[in-house]
Amino acid sequence: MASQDDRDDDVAVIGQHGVAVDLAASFEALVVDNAAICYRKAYFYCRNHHRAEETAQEAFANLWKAWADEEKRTKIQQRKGYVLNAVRNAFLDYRKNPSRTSEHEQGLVGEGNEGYRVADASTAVIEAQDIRSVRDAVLRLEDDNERNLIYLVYYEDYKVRRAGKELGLSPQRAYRVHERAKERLREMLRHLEEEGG
Amino acid sequence: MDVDKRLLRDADSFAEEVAGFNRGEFIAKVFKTLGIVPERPVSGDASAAGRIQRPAGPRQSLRAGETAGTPRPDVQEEGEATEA
Repeated sequence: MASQDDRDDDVAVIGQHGVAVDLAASFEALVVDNAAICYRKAYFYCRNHHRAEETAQEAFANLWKAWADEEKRTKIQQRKGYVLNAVRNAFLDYRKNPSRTSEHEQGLVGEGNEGYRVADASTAVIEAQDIRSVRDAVLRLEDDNERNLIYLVYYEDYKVRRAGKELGLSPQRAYRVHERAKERLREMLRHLEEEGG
Repeated sequence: MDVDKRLLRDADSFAEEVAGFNRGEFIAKVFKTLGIVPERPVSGDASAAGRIQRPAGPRQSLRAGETAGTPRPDVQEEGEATEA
């Protein structure tokens, strides 16, 4: 029979100040707090409810793998930016692995409605020539801070200052990033306006 | 059209598209996939800030860093898989 100490080791680690941390309990709190935003961010990429759920689940699985590391756990808990980037990484992983994409989904890629071609996994999730909507343009923003700030401000209804805080930006920097992102979007959307889109 | 207005208009469409999301069901799926057993059921209409409150203590769960497929011989072989 396992000892009490053995069983305690299953769920708790000793934190920075010598306090036992219940890893599963703290992770539960993270999931409860971030489930909806993770799903919505995944849907923002996928535009498919089923795939958005799978992507968001994968993001949480990856966060859980990192949860035992106190430094990573603290960062994840402190800023939504890490959670949002976990969703993006899960989406990119999903798209890079054809075995995980059904034939139906593969057929949708290229039709322009349900899927995106991966331009460069390290920078963007959509090719410039595939931009057909405002959402496409947001996805095309290559800077993580610009993309996440625009997402939080417009699609999650955060104030610029609060969104910046979630991303680890000072208020001044957040406003600069916001303006710069809008300028990039304006440029990307110019051709759509000319086409009446 | 101004980029702010276009973003806000798209955000309205986005909100309608994701309105059918069942938060409680999704959270349950995540916990099941990761092998985490919450002590209280999660309400689907709970606020985003709602947290599961429960006393700390030993119980069956995966260690962080493990996945649901990771063997747990220390627990399973000794029949200690039930909650304390």
